[in-house]
Amino acid sequence: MSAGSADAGGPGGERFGRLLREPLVHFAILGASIFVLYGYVAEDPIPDERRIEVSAAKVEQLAELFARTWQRRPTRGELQALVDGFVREELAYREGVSLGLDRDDTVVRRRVRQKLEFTAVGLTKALRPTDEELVTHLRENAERFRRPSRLSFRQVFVDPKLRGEDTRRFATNLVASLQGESSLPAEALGDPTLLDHVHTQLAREQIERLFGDQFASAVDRLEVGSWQGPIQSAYGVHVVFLDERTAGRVASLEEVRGDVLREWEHARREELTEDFYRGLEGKYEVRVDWPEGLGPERDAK
Amino acid sequence: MKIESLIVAVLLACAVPVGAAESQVEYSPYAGRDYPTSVYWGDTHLHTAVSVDAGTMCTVGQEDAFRFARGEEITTTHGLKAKLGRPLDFLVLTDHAEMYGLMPRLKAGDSDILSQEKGKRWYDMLQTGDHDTIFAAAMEIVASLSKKDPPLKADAVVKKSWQAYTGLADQYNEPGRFTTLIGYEYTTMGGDNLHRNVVFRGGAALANQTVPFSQFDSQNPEDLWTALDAFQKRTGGEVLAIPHNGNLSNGRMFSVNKFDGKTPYDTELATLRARLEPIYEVTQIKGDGEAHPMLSPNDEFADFDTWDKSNLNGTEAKTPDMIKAEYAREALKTGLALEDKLGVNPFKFGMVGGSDAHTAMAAVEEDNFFGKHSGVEPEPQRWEHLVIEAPTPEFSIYGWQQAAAGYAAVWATENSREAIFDAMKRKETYATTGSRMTVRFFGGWDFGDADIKTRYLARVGYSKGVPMGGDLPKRSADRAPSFLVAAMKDPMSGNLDRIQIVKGWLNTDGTTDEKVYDVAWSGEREPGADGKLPSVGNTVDVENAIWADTIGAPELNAVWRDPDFDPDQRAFYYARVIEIPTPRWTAYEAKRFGIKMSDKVAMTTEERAYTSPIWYTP
Repeated sequence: MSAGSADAGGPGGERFGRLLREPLVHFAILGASIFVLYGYVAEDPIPDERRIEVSAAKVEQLAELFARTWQRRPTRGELQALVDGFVREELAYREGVSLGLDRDDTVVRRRVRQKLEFTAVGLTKALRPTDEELVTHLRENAERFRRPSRLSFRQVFVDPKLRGEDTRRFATNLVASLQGESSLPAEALGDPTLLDHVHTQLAREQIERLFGDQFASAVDRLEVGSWQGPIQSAYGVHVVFLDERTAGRVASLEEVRGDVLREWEHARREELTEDFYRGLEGKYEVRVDWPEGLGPERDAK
Repeated sequence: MKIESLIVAVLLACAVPVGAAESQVEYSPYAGRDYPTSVYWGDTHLHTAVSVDAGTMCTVGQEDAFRFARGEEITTTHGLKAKLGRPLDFLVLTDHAEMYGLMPRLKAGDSDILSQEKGKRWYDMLQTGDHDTIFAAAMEIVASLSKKDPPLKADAVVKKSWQAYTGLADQYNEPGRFTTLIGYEYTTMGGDNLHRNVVFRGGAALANQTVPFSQFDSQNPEDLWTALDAFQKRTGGEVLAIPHNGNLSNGRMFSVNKFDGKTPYDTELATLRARLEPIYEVTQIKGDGEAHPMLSPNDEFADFDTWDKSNLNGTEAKTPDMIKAEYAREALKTGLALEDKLGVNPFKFGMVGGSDAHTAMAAVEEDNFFGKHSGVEPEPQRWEHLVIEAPTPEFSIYGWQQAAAGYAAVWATENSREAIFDAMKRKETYATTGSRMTVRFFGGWDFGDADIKTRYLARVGYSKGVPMGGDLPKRSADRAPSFLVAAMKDPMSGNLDRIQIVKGWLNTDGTTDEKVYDVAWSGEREPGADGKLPSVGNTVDVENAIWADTIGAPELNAVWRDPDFDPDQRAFYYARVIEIPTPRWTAYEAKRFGIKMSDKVAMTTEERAYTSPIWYTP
């Protein structure tokens, strides 16, 4: 972060333009986020405008930032310079803000917004969900993580291009002739096709991608354990033996932990951004004076 | 009827001789197969808000790009809800290497960036809220990335953004369901397009050992290859690069000379290129690059979504002599000649398609096309909006000229990073213009007519020959090579019109030739006196944006033996599969918005697939 090098900079000689850069805004955010996230500190509700306190933690932080840049701890003299620099920044910052210099500066405004959102939403990084939270997320979104029902089947293809008008009759006869022949290898029958004859544990979506929607719906309704058809697909007609139907079920956390974690984080980030602005909106009354004809549609009507 | 007699009846009816091995298959005959049995679909080329140019207009980031590709609903930059018709199996997010991740930080007013004069000015332009000013800023920023030196100092931003991306890719990588291959686009020479997408076989642990190699490191792609080669040696990991849009390179993508334009290719460089660039992105939104009508005057399908007026940014007109070094088929031919001279073929590449969309959405379905960038996402007038604004107005590209293409089809043993990467490396891939037809293509010396009737096409193909992307085994008997080719329609798109085999070869005098053979087609059509197969017809109802599968065939296949084979000539063969005409994205859009587009706008398309070639070397 650039804040590191700025904080570590030497004292004095700083031009005013620099004051509006990161360290100051950083500090403002620190203040703002404390305000937003933790509320007032009871015994010191409004900081004394003319008191600047540099806490031991802040001094340590300045030293840390220095160390990260220079790969060593600052000397006593360097540390003094860091603290002096920080105090000067703070002095100038407060003066600048009291003069209203921050208000019309787009750069400052955007930066504040970015930092604030980051502070609020970035917290998810630190949040490690408990298993309980993940289980709750899984339960509340059971459909999304559901293990779909799966079908295992064999199919014999009857090619309308080869069979012409006889296609369906041929398929129907095939079904009749095959009754009771449960172990017959499907690949020994029917017309050539690029479609595999044996399909194992396919979800509905996969069947649809291979054979088209119509076939997928039809196979879904078949009974297990007999040759059935004719069934139409995007390619022609099929005779199908449904070997097994594995019912869909709710997944356990162990099966889908990675997915649930990813989705939980995603949801949490969206939720936090939303909450964050809802919370802020609650504190303000927002009114937009739309010019004629430019308002939202419902107002225009 | 007893079952035995039924089988006999069926077999007789099919006239299929079934070998002993086939009649004694186990219940699960596919167990233990070591060849790829599934084709996986993906986009190898997609940009999000992290790409500097996309980021000027697009607000959708990398996470939503992954979510969209794997089939989730997202909100677009324009605030629409969007979802793919069918999920993809894999995605390579390839944000631009140049100033990787700069855009989100610039837009947020990052102080490191705003403290630099250029950064501040761009920021102010982007904040105006004025569409034209923002577009101008976008064009200026994109242009700045083609300069030799970076417009801003941003090393820390790049590294942090890159590692954020690789981490996200790992998180979204779900083998078996959705694979995220890590990648980026090396975007050299903004004008003459020599761009490459770099793809990693491994995850973040591998990719974090580097940052994207950008044109600020070098504008010379040869240096990219050297750097990638060194990276492989240093890490033991694997990478490959996929060039694209030779059609906008103004004669440079497949030049017989090195980057300097003067020195001829040598064996060393040819070896390096062939090793690192096994596949080429032959079709995408910015035009189709398989063939050009000038180079292939006898190929009536060669002029397909052709973009041939200028280079990428319209700063330099295209002249006829440039075309030769821009299109895949011609490059494959040139490669044969170079191989004859150098012993190595630098242009020995297979085919994939990609979108190159800058919307974070791999959405190139004709009825669900979200455009090249966020300036041309769906809205009633986008067909006449600018896609690329050139200094010379006649080189500017408008919305309607965008091709809703393409996707990469990969024959892999499973849906994982390693399996997909390895398939790309051995070129067992094909490109489509967005439709998802299944195509098998094998070459060998012993394929016979009976083989097309087999129910074990893949098994026969792999056991008697090599798949797409391979080399024909050494010729042992006095015969011509034969090819087993089969295609199955996309169940959600049009029937198939025909399968063609495209052959290119090297003559003894050093010149090259090509010929397109129709090898399988629908219906009872007979080639005319000129050898041309009549058109399949057209059932598209443009006004309603629908078609009927009353023409064409759901599946086509053939065994084809080269009738013009000369054992002394180097040659390559690839299959091209053409669909019957279906509504183009413009037709769906005209219907959806109830608008009329100009007469110059094509309303139908013939989706196609291009397989990787199979090479013959004497």
